[in-house]
Amino acid sequence: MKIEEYGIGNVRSHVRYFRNILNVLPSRYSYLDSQRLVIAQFALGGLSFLGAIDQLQNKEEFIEWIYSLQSPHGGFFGSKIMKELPSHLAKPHIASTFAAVQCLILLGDELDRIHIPELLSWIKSLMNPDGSFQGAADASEPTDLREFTYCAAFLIHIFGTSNFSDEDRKRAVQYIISCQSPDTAFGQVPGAEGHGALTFCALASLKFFGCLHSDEGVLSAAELKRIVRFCVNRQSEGIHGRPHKPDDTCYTFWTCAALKLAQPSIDISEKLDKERVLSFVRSCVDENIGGIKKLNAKNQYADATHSYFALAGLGVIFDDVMPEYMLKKDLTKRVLRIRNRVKESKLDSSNSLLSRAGNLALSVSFAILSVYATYLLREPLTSA
Amino acid sequence: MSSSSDDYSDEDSYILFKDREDWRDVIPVNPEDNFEHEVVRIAYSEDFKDCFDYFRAICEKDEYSERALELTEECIKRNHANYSVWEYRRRILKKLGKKLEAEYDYTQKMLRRHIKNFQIWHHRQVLCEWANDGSREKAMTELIFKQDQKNYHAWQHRQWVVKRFGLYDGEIDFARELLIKDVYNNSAWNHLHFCIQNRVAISDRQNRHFRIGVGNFSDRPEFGRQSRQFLSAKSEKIGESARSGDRRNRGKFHRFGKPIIINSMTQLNWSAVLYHVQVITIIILFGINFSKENFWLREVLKKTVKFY
Repeated sequence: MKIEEYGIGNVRSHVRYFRNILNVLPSRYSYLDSQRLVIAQFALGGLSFLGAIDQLQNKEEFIEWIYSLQSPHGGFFGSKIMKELPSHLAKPHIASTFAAVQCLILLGDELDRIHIPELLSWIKSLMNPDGSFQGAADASEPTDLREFTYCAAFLIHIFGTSNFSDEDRKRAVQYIISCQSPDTAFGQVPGAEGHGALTFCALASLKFFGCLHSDEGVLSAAELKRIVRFCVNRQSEGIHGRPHKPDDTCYTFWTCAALKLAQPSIDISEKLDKERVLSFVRSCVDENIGGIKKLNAKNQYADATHSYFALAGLGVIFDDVMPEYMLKKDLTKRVLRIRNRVKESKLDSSNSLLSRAGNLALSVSFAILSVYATYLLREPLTSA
Repeated sequence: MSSSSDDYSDEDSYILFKDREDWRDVIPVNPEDNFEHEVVRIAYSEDFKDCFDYFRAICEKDEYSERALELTEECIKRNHANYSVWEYRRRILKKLGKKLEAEYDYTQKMLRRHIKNFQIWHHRQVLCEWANDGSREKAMTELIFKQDQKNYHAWQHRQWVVKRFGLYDGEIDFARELLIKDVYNNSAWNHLHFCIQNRVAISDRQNRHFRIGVGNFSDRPEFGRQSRQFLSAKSEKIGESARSGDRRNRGKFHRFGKPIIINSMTQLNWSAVLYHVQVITIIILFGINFSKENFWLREVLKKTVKFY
């Protein structure tokens, strides 16, 4: 279904809204400085959902900017201010890294300038003994956030599992499962309240770890059915994330994507009232500046987060967006191509200088010995 | 995402760091803007740039002083989500060995302004760990609940404090009172379950009420009536057994459903296989060399060569 048919206001005003974000934000948005890459992901993602990303003229400049935020030791910073600090304080962030990879995929980059071995060992260093992931090294960021597990799972899925053994995978999955709340949704930490967004993060992470709808699936059919029921119950007019909370446009994505992941064969229109969701999102469109607000309230303004997730959510409902990747289905080929390229080039295998030198020495000695063996065996052995 | 207020820049008495006498010895570090095509640029105000240029300078000097602490406060006012500034602030507090009373008050003030900010909640948690004391946290979270009854971070922090410092006393009654005011407060239901799960024996039937009642069935019309009955009748008993210190079967958080079965998965690492093949071949070739005198090996090799 084309975006114009969703009927969420003037598509060009939304495109203009996202392009303005990519350009300049006023000074009152300084509090977003440490996560500019994430905001860029929302803007580029929003343009992608609106079918307008190919209209961008200066994609190469965007790609250069993103790579300029890469740390030589793995990971990406959220902005220059986070990067330009002494090395003991400058810590790349996993959410920024996730955003960087998403942006590069959206811009058509082949991800060939990413330092993959350093990235993978950095992600491994963020893993706690209980299987959760920190946001940034040395607990600069809270260590319990489950979105970080999702970001890590996505990156490992794309770039390979060489640093990530089966034991690590089991621990991560164990942690995810321990975060399941009594109503079978997932919370932020063990014991926390079930939450739509965190249910999505949990299900998507399990899918990336190969433990959802597979031979190693850790959720029974009954549990998945209860998760579906939890998600379905989250609709009143629009969709919310926790029981008896007000509707919020960003949960259009979180909850619908969780529903789709819990039961991939589902037709969402059988479980949710699409028209009511659409009319709620429509009512939250900001007529003045474009974009989508969190709630339908006069004192609310559109923001990048809610605009992006509302569009992503509508994409999931109309089967246009891959829920676990947060990308349009047209981009599946691109993602698969990148994954295969990484696998084939064996860049994900331990590629450190030492092992490369070791392999070279071994191959040379093997060649010398092969020649020597040929020399040894030159006489027919049958001679006495 | 709340928009930050501009009240700090409305203070007429605010002096930029570059104009302060006691900061003359510090040279601000302004990273070269060698990248013209920045994306999602922010039109930083002059005071924002001033603060962060001086912050960079202080970090490079590795200065941990009172004035550095003040600088972090100004930086946090302008970007309360910058986790590097919060990290540096923690290092200053540690190095100075300051008493944490003022810091508790500061974080409480910040939390009331930005109740959904992860970094401030994390900072508060770290302070509790340092002080090994969670006694203030219940009152602090109750202040936040007055603003937002269902604030996820506040409930998570409260659960962390209760579990970490064993402060379960009174929690069941606290959750019950919130539920009597609003029986649809899902956060309070979850907290009630959390406390009971960790403290007292709970029968399967009682557990089932929580498991199936909240989240999945709270939209049913009879939920309110049944829950009020449960709260007034059954939970009294639960509260009693908690108070009497009934510790039988103190439950760990468990999953509902089949246990986790993850089969081991072997992933063939081809470069490792190649390595081993090379090593074994080298050993064999050495063997050939030294075994020219060995009759049996020669016989085997004869047969092998003939075969090929």
